[in-house]
Amino acid sequence: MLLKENLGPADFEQLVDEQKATASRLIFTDQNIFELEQEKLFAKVWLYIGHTSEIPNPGDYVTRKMATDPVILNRGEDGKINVLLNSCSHRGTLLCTTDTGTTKGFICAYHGWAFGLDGGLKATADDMNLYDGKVDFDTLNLKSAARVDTYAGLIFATWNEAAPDLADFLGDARWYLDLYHNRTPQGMEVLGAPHRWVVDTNWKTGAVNFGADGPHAVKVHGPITQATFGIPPQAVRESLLYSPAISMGNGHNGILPFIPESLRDQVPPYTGYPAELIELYERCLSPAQQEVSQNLLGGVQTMFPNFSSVQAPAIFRPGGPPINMMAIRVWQPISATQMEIWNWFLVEKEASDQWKHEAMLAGVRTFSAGGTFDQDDAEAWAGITSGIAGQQGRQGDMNFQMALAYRDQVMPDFAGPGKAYPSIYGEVTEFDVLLEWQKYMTA
Amino acid sequence: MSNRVSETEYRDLADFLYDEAELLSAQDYPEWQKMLAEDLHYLIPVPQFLEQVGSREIGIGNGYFDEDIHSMRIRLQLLSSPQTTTAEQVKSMLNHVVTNIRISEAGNDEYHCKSAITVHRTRFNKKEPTIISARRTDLIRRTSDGFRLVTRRVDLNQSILMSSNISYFF
Repeated sequence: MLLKENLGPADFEQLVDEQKATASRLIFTDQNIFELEQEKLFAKVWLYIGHTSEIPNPGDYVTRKMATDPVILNRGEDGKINVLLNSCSHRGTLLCTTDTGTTKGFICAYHGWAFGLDGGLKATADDMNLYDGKVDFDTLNLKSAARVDTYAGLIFATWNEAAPDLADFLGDARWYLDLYHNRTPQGMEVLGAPHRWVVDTNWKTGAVNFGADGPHAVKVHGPITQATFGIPPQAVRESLLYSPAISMGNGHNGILPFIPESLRDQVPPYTGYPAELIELYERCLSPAQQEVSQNLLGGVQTMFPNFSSVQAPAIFRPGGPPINMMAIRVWQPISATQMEIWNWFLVEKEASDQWKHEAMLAGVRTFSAGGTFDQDDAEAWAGITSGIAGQQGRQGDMNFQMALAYRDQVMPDFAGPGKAYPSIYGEVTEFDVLLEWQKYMTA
Repeated sequence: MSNRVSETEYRDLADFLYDEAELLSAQDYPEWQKMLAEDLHYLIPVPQFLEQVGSREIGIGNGYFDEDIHSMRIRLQLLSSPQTTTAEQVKSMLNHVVTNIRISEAGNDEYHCKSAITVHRTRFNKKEPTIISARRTDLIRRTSDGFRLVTRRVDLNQSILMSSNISYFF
């Protein structure tokens, strides 16, 4: 495959080879493909943009991105969630230039055009009558996302009027989202402003890794897991090798690393969550969800295309109990070879102040720009971009061929929906993220 | 700043900060660790662009770093061996430039130290340096065994970190 400008469906058929379980490296490095993704994928699909706990009151706003577009996410006077293109309808100036705040509306820095929280045009540069009735002001409201919806506190938006309902788009993945986001009556809340950092790699690298990559967890994260949880690399391997990876449908994929047999007597059910929260989980989760949840050592998943989450235990205080952190993140596409990671830490609203604080500490010390897990991942991911930058390197394949050994081994009796595969080493669910990507790119 | 210190004290504390910068650039963490107090609090908050009026806090706050001596030791231990770090294998080329040092007495043999720091970092696969600048606010304690860093708050000047990771210290 050679680089060319007018890539069509036939090209994308070749770029991901389902039979061989490989993908062309071009999809991780070619800027033409990146531009086509904006049109064929990011303009069509539901994108995660924020959490309801970030905008609890009318007038609260945060500035966000939907792929390469800046947007304002706010709560209107009527309590409704609005998602507006952060760009004046007059000449395109960026309207809101703060990360967060509370306001009654947005005024453009250039000519002073003013807009309400719902994006409605309130004022132009001067007396609106100067237009002499020749302009339909209804056409000059801010561009709004075509659809906005939430699931378990997670706010998604899409530019695509014809997108399926969010509930249908998430489909069976809701069962797995519930394990982390819907396990207490009041649900989750963010612990603070998002961590944001740039990694020199294609956004799909992150989405695929969280879909999720088992073997790297032993190679890259073995030492930190041992240092902070006392788990030897063999036990991490045991958990990953013999725990399920789930293909939830619509490109949503994840892994459920269970407490390995060798650690059963050391690690309590729900891996260290406090009793008062476990009591709530047992009230909110179905028996089948509880069966899965209480066995989890952690959990990682990607909601297609670029929204992921991770839950993991850590001990940073000698002799202290394991503390579970939970993070959600978006792999923001910046260019073919660069992404921004936007990362939020979540905790149960009902948790004690002390647990919230400890969960926050466990989060920032593990999954963040400075986190002991992410700092190592980023190095490996940026290395991909360097390694495949040249004429020879980019012609090769990204290899997911462990899938050839595992893709026919769907577990018949797994407790949850979707297709469960018996090993997180399988690369089946990682590759599934790219198969879904291919569907959008060939459509 | 009130309670300015004597020239000798200023010189001693400035030397402490320079020695520290040298060790951080060399990633000599066993030596740097000796300069940390047992009651260390090392904090790097999330920098944000906020309205001057009407800004609000979301959640309890979650810094990029929020470390006590125990978590710091784990971090330093991991970064000290090529067997336990990917981020710093191979080691970055680092240069910590410290300036704008202002010192005042805090009482009880402790000192408030403010300084500006710029860290230049180059990776094998990123030849042009990543440069992050920050303002530091420290509390430094005089002990019979030399100075110890008690608290450090690092206010970065990037709201989106233009760096793949922060596997070093400010």
